[in-house]
Amino acid sequence: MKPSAFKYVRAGSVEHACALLAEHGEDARLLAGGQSLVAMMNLRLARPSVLIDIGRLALADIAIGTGSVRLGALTRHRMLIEHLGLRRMAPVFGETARYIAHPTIRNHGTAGGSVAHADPTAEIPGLLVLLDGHVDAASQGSVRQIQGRELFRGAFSTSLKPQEMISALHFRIPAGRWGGNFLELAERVGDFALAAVGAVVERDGEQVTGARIVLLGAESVPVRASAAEASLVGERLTESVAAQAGAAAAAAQRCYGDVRASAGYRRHLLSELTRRALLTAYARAGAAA
Amino acid sequence: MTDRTPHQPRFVGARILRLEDPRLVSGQARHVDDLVLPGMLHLRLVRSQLAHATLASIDVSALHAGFPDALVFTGQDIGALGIRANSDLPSVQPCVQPILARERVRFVGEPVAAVLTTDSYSVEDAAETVFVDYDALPVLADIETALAPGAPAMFENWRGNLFIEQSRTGGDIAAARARARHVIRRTYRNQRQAGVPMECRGVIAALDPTGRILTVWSSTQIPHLMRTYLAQELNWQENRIHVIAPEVGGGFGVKGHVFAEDVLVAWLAIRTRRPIKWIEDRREHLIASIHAREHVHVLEAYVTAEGKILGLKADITVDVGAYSVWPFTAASDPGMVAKVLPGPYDIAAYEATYRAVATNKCPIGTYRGVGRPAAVFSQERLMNEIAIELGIDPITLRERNLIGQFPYTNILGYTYDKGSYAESLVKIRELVAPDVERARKPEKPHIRIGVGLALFLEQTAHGTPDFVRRRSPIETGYESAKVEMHPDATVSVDSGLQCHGQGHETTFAQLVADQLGILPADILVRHGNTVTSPYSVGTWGSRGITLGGGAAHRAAGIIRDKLIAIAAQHLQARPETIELADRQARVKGDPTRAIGVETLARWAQRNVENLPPGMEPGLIAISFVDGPPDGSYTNAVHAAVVEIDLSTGQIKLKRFVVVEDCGTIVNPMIVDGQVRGGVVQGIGSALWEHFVYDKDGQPLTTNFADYLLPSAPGLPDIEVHHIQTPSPVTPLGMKGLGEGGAIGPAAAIANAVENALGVPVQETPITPSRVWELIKKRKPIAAGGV
Amino acid sequence: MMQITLTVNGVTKALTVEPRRLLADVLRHEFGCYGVRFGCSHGACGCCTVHVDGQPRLSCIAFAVQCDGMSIATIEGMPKDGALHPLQQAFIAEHALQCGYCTPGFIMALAPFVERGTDPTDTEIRDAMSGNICRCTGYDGIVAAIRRAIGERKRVDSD
Repeated sequence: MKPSAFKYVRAGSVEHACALLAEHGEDARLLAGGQSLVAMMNLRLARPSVLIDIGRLALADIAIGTGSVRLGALTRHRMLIEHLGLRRMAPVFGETARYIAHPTIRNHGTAGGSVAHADPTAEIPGLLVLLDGHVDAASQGSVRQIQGRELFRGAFSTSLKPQEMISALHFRIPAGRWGGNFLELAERVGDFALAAVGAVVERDGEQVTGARIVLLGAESVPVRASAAEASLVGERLTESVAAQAGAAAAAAQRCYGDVRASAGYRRHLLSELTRRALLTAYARAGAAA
Repeated sequence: MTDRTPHQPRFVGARILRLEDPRLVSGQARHVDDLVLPGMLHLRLVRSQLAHATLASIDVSALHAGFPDALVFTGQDIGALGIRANSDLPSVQPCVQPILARERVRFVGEPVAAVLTTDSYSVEDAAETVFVDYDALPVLADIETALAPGAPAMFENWRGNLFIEQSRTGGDIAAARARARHVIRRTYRNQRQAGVPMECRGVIAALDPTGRILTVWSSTQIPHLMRTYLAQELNWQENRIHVIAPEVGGGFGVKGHVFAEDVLVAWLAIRTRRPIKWIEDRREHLIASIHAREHVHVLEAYVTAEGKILGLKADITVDVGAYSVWPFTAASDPGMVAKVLPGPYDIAAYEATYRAVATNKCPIGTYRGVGRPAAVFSQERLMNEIAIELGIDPITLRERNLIGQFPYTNILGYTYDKGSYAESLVKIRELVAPDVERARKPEKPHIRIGVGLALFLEQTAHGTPDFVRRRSPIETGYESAKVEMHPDATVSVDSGLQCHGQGHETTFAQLVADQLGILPADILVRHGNTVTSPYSVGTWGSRGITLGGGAAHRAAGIIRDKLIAIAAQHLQARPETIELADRQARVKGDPTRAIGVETLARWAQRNVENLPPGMEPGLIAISFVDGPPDGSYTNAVHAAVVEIDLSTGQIKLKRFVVVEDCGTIVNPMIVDGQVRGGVVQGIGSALWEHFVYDKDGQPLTTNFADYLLPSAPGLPDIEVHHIQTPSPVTPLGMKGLGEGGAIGPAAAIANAVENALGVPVQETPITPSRVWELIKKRKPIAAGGV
Repeated sequence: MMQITLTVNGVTKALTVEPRRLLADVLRHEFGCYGVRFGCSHGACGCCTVHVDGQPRLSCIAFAVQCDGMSIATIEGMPKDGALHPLQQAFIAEHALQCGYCTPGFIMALAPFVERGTDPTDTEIRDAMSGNICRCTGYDGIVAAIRRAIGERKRVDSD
């Protein structure tokens, strides 16, 4: 389990990284935290001929705006847990990041890397889709925005072009009273999720004014439960409403089965986790100032 | 053969911190992979990618073109060398695992070609360029396929795909059945697992400059057995092979085998006259070292109205994979189940049929517990199911069937030394009583609490007769030690065992220190080296402290007697009045009449004119201690408390309580550590670890993201309680305990899940997905309790 | 081949390495830090944990060239003034190891946690070690060792 040989180049800037990507094309891979990529290289499941190390670029910043959060692509998972502003404004970031792997991995794994890797049950992609986010995809001389919902094509597959790199991630945060919750069920702490659900609820008094639900484990990409979201608007989010929404969100999913869990079990978990996440998010929205 | 320490033990029984730890916590330990020899070549194996195929051709032209300095060897080069692990028991179908596959491959990961370069990175590049052309054969991926009529035979001249099919019987099973009020029949399954020490396997072999001495450094639990096997297979004299196991990073039975790679590396070192290094990687370890378990047991109990088991019939099938492992053979796991199923219960009629089925998977070998975790799972699940069916409290049912008199000879003729089966049940009942209460009255509607237990015994430190009966290549059951006191009164102990976490360097020092009146720190215990130690069969089978420690204790006793004899002459006292303590030989009750042990040690070796007339110089002794014919029986009861979330299937282990009896305890800290570590491996078997193959025999769980080992967050503190019933048949009354922890958890946890849900659990691992399936079958339970 | 400079346990060395050389291999073979161990080579067991610029990092999934110019600490650098680090001592006192293969990784992963100055619950301690696998001990001794080392730190802090 030693990687095959490659050429190593350290990028000095985003522009430099993009130029290198343009130069080397599909043979090149970006190396950010390397927490998934290097493991895959050791197993020789990945064998890029050029590694462009972007790990030292100054892209590890968190910016909180009105109704938005911007993460530099190299924001480490640990920063999402510890960042004071995020903890105040959108604690769902830290709550989600706590499910990512293990503390040592969270020191180095990056938000942009996680999104580009596109593991089907990875948390940051889920958060991006939940919070109507988009990424800045930089290439030589230009930057385009890719909406989270269009970014993920399948397991480990995105709509990024070979010459593009993610430079930042943008998340839309509700303006009014809102609450979020992210719940995940895995066999052990830090494992890939059997199923996970993120929910955001906005409320005005007792009434839901907006809801977003993302499901992980339903498809090979994070999916939004749009019909269930719509059904909640205008409702008082009671136990039974939450349960119905959970059931509706899950019933619409195909779900996949594997050695860990059957499709039926995953569907059941999505229903139950949706129910719980909605209730928690709703209660948090109520408690929010 | 009870040995008594001549005076009040000072160190035996004490919580002594481990002498080996300073080097281990500071990175100073050296494992096989840390050894670098001049001119060394690195070996990478090309391994079969198919589960069952004919080898059409092996094309090395790209290798030669791309890596002109690389060496490559195939089965054609190495010839008939193999792993031959056969016994002459009737019904055994013999087989040989070639060191490198020749005509055929039989599991994914089987070595096909050996590639050598000077670097561990380039050798992987080179090995990738070897092109193997396979002609696929039908895959025997499971027991059913392998035993189906018309299934292709795994080996030439085989009839049916069984390594062995045997029966063991005792008493009149037909009469038991006829007299029974209830016949209770159940099927239980335990999954395939991997053993997974944190250090993978590794071997280095090198010839000395004369070409006469072959030194093999191997991460092995059995250095002497490896030497014997290598000598046989390579046709070398045994005195010209040195096997050294340096620091070994865990074994758990996995490293208690001689593998094809061990033979291959030795052969390559002879052939190339270069040092050869092979370090297994984690994927190789998971797919191609040994696996464990994968049992199906069909049990039928014949029971009276009161719950007394009159007879037990068992049909035991183990999917043992592609080859028979050396030295334990393919019969090891199923044979163990057939042997131990009667357990701590007084059962008057017994009939077991066991079979080892050949399939296209990694061979099954010995892993902590060897068959017993599966046997106890079935036995203790069955006890619970009988209790529920008859409406009897499960502990009461066990008590009604328990052996009460010792020594006890069971229905197969095995004699159990004294244990504490009944006391341990009483104790565990008290310990978990609050949880049993909580389980009756759940506080939250979606949470259920369950309490389950497993009572079992473990045959440990079994002696030669037990292995003669098995007719496996182990053959003997003794252990050895050489003790030498040097002129400055420091002591070397050379044990034939190999220590990889058991703390022998400390516990053996405790035993010897008490004999010689010195401190454990004065004693250096060396192990894992055939050059320095007498012959030994190695560290496995919960035998180290009893037999290896017993041998060190006895050898030290010989030196003690000699020191006392020298002192007796000098002090003008009778030997029986002299004790060794505080580095002195002194007359009991008269501290003024004393002489330093150091003086005696110097006299014995450097001033021999001071010795009594006729006494030979020297302070060295060797002892061999054979185990009791049927071993010594450690007993334990494990209790698990689980909390199950009915809405997710999530299972949380809230408590795990052990009451164990391993006789005389040498170091309670180490005993607790062994028990806790074993228990957590058993919890892994119960909840997480599962090695999965698809129907084509392709392994699906080849890394630590897919093969799930127990990690800290999912575990409670393991509570350990002791009862000490010294064995009358071993040195100092010690019994073995290394494996016991791993034996009970699957049964205890399954019983707890059954208690929580009111649904029987008949298969492990008990994953959330499986729990959810059980929840869907829920109905109120007939009888509760533990 | 690339020229890099690493400072390992205070010793700075210029090296020429292949880009693909894993940090763990370079620490082992170029610096003799054999306490850095491969357990899985895919970042899933924690045996290879070292500190890179003060932060725990898995050296089996890092390339040495990524760490050019950085300062690395391994288990060999943990003792100070000839005395074992309090966490090393606590591992011995609480029987937190058996075979010891995983032990350097645990100590490197958890030393910053011990030094952090908080007073964690058992659950937090166990979560902090979720990425490190010990196959021998069942973890109880390790939890106790961390608790002991934190107690020792607090005792020293309050002096």
